[in-house]
Amino acid sequence: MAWRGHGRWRDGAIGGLVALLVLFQGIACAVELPLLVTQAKWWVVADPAAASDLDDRNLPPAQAAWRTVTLPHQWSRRHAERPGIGWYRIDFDLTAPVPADAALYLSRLSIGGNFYVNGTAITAMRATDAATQVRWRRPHLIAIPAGLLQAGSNNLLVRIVTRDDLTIFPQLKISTAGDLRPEFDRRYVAEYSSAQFSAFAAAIIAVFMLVIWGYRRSEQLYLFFGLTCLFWSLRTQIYLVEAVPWAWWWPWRILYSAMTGCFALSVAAFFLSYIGQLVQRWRWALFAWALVGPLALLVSNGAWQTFVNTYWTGSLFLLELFVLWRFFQWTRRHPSLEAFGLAGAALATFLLAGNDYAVRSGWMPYSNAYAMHLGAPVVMLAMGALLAKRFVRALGLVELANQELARKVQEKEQELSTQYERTRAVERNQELAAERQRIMQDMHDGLGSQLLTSLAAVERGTMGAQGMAQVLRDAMDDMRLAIDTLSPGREGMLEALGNLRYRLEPRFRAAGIALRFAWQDMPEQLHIAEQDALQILRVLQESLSNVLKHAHARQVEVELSMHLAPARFRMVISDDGGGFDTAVPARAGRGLSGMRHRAQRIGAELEIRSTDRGTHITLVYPLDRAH
Amino acid sequence: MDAITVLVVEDEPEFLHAYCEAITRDGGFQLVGAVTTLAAALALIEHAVPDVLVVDLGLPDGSGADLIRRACQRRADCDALVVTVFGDDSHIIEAIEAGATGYLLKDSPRGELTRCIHELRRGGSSISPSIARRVLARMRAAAPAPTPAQPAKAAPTPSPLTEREAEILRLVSKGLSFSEVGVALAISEHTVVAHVKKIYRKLAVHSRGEAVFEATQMGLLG
Repeated sequence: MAWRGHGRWRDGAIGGLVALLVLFQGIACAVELPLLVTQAKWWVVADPAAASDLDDRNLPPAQAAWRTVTLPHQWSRRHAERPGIGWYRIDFDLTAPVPADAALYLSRLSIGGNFYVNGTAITAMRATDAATQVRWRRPHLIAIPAGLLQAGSNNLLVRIVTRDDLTIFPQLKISTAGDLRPEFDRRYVAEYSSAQFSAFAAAIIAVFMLVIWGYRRSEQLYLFFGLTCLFWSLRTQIYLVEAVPWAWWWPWRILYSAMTGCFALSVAAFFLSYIGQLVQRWRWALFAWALVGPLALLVSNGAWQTFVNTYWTGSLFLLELFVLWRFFQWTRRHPSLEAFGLAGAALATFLLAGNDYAVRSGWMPYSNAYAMHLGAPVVMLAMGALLAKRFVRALGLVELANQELARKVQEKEQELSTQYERTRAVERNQELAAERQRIMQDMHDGLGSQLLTSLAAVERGTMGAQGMAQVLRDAMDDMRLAIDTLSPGREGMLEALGNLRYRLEPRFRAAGIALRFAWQDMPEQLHIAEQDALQILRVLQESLSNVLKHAHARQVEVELSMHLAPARFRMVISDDGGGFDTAVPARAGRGLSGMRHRAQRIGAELEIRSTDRGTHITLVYPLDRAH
Repeated sequence: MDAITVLVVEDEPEFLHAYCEAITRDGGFQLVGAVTTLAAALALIEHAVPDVLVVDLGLPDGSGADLIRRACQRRADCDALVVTVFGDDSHIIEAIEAGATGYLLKDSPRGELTRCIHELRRGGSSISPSIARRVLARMRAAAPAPTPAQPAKAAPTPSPLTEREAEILRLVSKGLSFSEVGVALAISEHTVVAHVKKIYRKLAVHSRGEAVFEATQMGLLG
């Protein structure tokens, strides 16, 4: 055998340099471990029925119609006879001492097979049978029981059963288990564990994103990202199912295609949507195209599998390429770290996907690992970072907007309060002006006219010193009452009433007249507008003053009471003096008409009854008039 | 019993004359002086403080309150009666805080002045509703709850008014006469006016205490 002979002179240089051996695979041969097998003899059983009964005695003879093939060996392109039972035979020499823990390593043998060393079965890897379709996703490490290998010539036989034209038989490596274990572990993690993990992580992220989208339907990026993760997760999990019952095989296959398509198109939708170029029509076109592959499989019952695997999958690549190109263009215009990161990750994944496609199609060394499941999570991470950035930016905008809003509200508040203050000031000024006007009017009507008429009387000589003193005293009293009532800081009318009483009491005492105040249910407070209170108190002062001047009374009583329905304040001033004729103004003095005038001004009723046994002056002031 | 010595301080000759006449006509009084300026009055009381001062607050060379304060310093039982044109609350309060125990409107009837002085010497004072309310408010504001930053011992005069005194002020401020207050509280009218005078004294003491307190706070006194 050519490859054995050529290998002999290179013995010392081999060591662990497996890569070198790959380059020289056509001529490599080893007599010392590790041994990389790149050529084998291949024989297809012409009559599968005859060869299906399998035991150690049924192994193919060395003189069968073996053909030498280069590994990895793909059935569909190298041989017309498919599918069927095939044997691979590898002869190799070993130098002594033969290790006790020798093992076989295969990076990938998806269909499984039976392995024999020197005519003894060492393993029966589960393979597709009548009940189950088996596709191994993991690499294989097969221990060779001690004693089977011997110094000198050995042979390895592998029996495989193929069902379709995708069967590829890989290169394999023979060495000690300890030597092969690390590579096997690496491969296991890279192709199998990591895929499991990424599927699991993607599922969690998908749920999270879809929940977010559920709350914010307008944020389609979350939808597309969630779908991307979801389809990726499903696709990977479907992919990782190694044994599928035949009854489920086609659904499984179709589902896998559908998930792959949906994943690719979700990614495309995400990118286009992110750069704002996802036209509504495209969206449906994209998802329609995503379903073309699986539908083709479904409708043709598998007949169009080649078409689907090659052209539909290829079209997805082209689509991604197109989308990626658009995204690159956009990134150039809107450069950002996240966008570049995503573009880079997407490109890398695209290349990894291309690698897988090439490996599956046999354009690349079959021993290369399928790697797209390593790139996709990175892309998803980059997509997540992009979304997170957007989210954070949106939060920042919201905060900014809130601050702006708070500032505006504050400004408005300030404005309003300024406006309010201004209005208040204007109102205060108006109130002050009105108050001043009232006081001026009051002085003009009361004190002023009183002093003026007295002045005229004095000038005509009709008023003596006594009358003059009386006029001045009245004027003084009136002014005092006004000041007392209108001074700020007074506590309502009760206090003003008390002050008036306090002031007048000495005079009544001096005149020997008993002054009595009688409250019927005295209230805690008596709130009557100052201006009205002043008029009521003036009526009271005038009445009491009249009693002092004219009545010759012994006692005078002021009865005060509050009444309900309608709310009113009632004041009765009764004396037991001589009375007067109310019809004769001269007798009553100008005081009576003044009182009537005041009562009228504040809307109060005034009743004056006078007999020779006394005078009763009753004032009823409606309280609902008061503010 | 000795005659009550009275000093009249009033810059208006008409009023000065009227007061002096009223006082000299009353056998119970001895007019010891009638002056028109604060300086003259201060000089007089340096010699001897009379039983009663009749003081106009608005003197040409200063406030009558200063005279009252000085007199009360020299003689604690000196009675100062303020005569005033208007029952102007803030000036009256100021005078009471200086130590005045009574006040009288200048247009009060003849005889009120001597009646008031007699009442003062008997231990009673009058109060109008407005002044009662203001005194009440001042005394309430005067007794703040000791704060953590201000230890209780630093408070000048805790709880200046008794409950009875506060109630009297409250009733007067509502317009009740002294006899009515007496009936309401089941005490004599004389007791009511005696309370009022005590209240005036307390306000004076309190305001002095407050001044001391403020000075202490500012570090002027030890």
